[in-house]
Amino acid sequence: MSQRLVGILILAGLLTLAVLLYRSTASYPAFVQGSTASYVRFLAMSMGILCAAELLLSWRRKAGSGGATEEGSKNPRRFWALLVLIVVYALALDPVGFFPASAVFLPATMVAMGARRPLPIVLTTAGILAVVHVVFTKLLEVQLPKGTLF
Amino acid sequence: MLKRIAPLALAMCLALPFAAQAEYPSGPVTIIVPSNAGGSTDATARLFILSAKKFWPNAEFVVKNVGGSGGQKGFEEIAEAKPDGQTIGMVFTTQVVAHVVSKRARYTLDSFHVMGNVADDPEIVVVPATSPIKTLDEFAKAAKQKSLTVAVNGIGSDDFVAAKKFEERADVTFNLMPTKGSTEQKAAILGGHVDGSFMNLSQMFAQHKAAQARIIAILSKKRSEILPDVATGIEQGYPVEMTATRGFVAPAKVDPAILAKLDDLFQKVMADPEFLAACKKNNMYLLPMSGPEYVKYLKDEQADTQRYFEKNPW
Amino acid sequence: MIFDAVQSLLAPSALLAVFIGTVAGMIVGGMPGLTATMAVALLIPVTYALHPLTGLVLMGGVYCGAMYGGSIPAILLHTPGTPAAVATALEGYPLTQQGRGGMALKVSVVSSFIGGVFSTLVLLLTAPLLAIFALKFGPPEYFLLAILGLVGIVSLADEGRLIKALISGILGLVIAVVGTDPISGSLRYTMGVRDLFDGVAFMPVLIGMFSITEMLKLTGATRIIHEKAEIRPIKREPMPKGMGKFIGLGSGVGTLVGILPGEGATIAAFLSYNIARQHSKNRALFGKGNPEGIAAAESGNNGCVGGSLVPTLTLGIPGNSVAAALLGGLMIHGLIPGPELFTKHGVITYGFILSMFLANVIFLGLGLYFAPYFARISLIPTALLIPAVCLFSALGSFAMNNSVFDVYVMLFFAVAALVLERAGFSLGALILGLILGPIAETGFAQGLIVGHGSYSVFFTRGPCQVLWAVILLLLVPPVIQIYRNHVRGAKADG
Repeated sequence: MSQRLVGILILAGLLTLAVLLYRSTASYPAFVQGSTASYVRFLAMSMGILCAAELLLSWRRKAGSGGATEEGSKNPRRFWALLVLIVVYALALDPVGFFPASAVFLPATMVAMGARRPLPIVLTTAGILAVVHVVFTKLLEVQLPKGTLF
Repeated sequence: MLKRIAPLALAMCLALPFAAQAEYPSGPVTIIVPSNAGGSTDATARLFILSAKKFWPNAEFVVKNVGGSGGQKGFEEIAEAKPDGQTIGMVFTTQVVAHVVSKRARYTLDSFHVMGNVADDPEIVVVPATSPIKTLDEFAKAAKQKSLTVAVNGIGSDDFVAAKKFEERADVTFNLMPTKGSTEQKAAILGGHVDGSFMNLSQMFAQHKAAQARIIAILSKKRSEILPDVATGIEQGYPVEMTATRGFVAPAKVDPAILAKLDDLFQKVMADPEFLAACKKNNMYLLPMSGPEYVKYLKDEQADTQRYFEKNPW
Repeated sequence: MIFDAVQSLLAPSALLAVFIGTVAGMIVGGMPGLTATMAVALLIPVTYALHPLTGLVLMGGVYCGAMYGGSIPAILLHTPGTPAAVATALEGYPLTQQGRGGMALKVSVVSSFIGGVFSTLVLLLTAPLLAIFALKFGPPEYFLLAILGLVGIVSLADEGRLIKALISGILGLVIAVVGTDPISGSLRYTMGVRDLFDGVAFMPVLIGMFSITEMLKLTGATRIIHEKAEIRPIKREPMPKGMGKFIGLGSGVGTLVGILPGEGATIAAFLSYNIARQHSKNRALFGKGNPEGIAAAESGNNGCVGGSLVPTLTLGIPGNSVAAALLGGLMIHGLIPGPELFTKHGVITYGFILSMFLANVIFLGLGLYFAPYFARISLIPTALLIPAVCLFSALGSFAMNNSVFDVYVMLFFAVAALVLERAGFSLGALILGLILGPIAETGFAQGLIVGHGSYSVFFTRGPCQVLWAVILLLLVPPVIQIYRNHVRGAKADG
């Protein structure tokens, strides 16, 4: 998918959002129609107009003149691996608990990112978990997810 | 060396949840505070722990702050906690009943075993120092002449219900300005941006003493020790009462034997002179209520709030 | 009295408390999601057993240290430890990639120090006078203050992408609408998700957009430092010249904005960053690693520390949540804000204020000494660094509200940021909108209530008119710039 197409899709999406947002303000309670509802309407209108203007402009600009943006990752395989690993990690936090989930996530991600020697992997993992345990759990008394499965 | 300790530490982390369940209390008792760290409810819980440790020397207590959405998240977490007595929590009014009334809550008052109330913070009516208004009568009269802008802490809060009660009594309508909390209310009063505000005593008594604002009434049964010169609403002919209470509850389904232990702990803490002195130093106004007393209070409060909600839902 | 205050501050226990507080603050500030508010709240029961002054200087140290600490991960890892450090990340991280992280850290610590000292000096000398200024700001003024901050979108825009930057800013404002309506109390666009009742928490969004996105990009590299860039002898790169102007600007703006109760530090940092960007001779360098931007932003957010204590100590109106927790600490010892604090309890109050100078000196010393070591983070292989940063990002998102939902929010916005950035939208503008949205909406709606429904309230009040003037002044230079570019572009075409 070309960059220009992505841009146009986003703009079209935001334009739809603006219209929906504008229409939704009708359901606000009557006594805020003059205050918060009109604020939201103003936002919706501005966003709609700006998106429409940008769509028109990008139409006129034609293809190819958008200019290249930031390069993505040079290693798509690792990029996707990391993304999948974080998503799985986030989803596992609640059922498995913070410490078990992290004890798997850290070494797994390190290996996926290209670490091979076991010593740094084990040491870093243990070090990070120890720091978290001391600073978050002991000193600041943050209640980390305990896990609901067990 | 470290290599050997690491798996050990890990194993310990993993093993913690499986710690043997011996006689109650075993393992840490979590107190859920339904507001962020640093507020008065949070302070109450932390002082409670200091005292409770003396009576249950083997138990460990931890505070878990579950702030946001007017306490609703925290109240629900208490109601839905595993009923093993290892999790108890705090509630505060009127929010705890307001969420039930507005049908947002996933709990009811029956979801809790009420241990009792610790402290309260009476509602006050305050005006800017430059305002000519000195009594509730003058306040009502001014409100009849022109629309007075009055700040309250959010819709459904104790301030809001108190303002609505006063409107009904005095037959006036305020230009109500909801705010995000007492800081905004203070700034609005001290800067003279509003004509008056309904808020809590602890939030404004210092400014009253320094003559930066004027408290014209306290909406409780009797005058406060801190400000004996401020007349109550009842004295001034406007029998409007409102206060923000802060008490302890446990999930309702906990084993009755454990609940008895918790109630006993609560009573012991409330009788601990050190705890009482600490509360006083923290500018908390003690309002001890036993479990049954507090349940009745909460039910009345809910019925009252229900009435105002039906008139003007939010 | 000042002399007595100095003497009581020089007691070993007090000095130790300042030191411990400052170091703890730097750690807390340096971890995204851990806030100075949390640390101060935890300290309150502890300070209970201490001498009042010892307890207070401990909390003061945490406050000063945390505000500086936020800039360290912002510069090194593109992970703002506090929302006020976003602008610092925009300029500092590119410098780290160029192998100049040590210099960026130096600029940040020196600017933080000067901003902090300046605002403390103002607090010490003119607190009661400035408190009157704070009170002039009512709801209509807060609305205009938010607009003033939003003007920054215009200068955050890359060349030729003004409309996209504006759309990004408005998108931020729209996301900020989710949650409870500030006036009616009814729920909007929450889809029944309880974690959204208070709106989308901005710290997870920030961490997702800045930190996780950067980590995903880093998967293709072996280190943070660009492979081509020579690793400069980090230790010995001196402070660049010409920073004085920007530090002065930030200190002034920070102190003034900090005095106003509310989300001061973030606005102050962005505002002074914005002014610096418009008035710099090196405009083109902004966004690619300009130490001037760091200087302005960091002196701006540290300038808030002293400023925010002005209304706290004189009026009992806390300038922000940290000051609110500090206020609780004061009250425990029977120290009630107001004039008495500066007379009857003068020894403690002045001792506390003076201790903040000390806290600033401590983090300056530590910051300068450790800068070269911190900077070595950019040499850690990404294979170890990325998992660690991702873990702390998730942890930070969670810890803010004890909510796993916020971790999902972080991930969602990380992915959204990748897509938006590719399409040329401005993430800085989006964040600015998200942070200022609630202030703008509440100020607008409350202002209308104060004005009994009439829009004239935003124009007739004195402070409002001043704010409008400043807004126009800030808008003129970029508009001229855009016009010139347009003319030049037209000529090039024709």
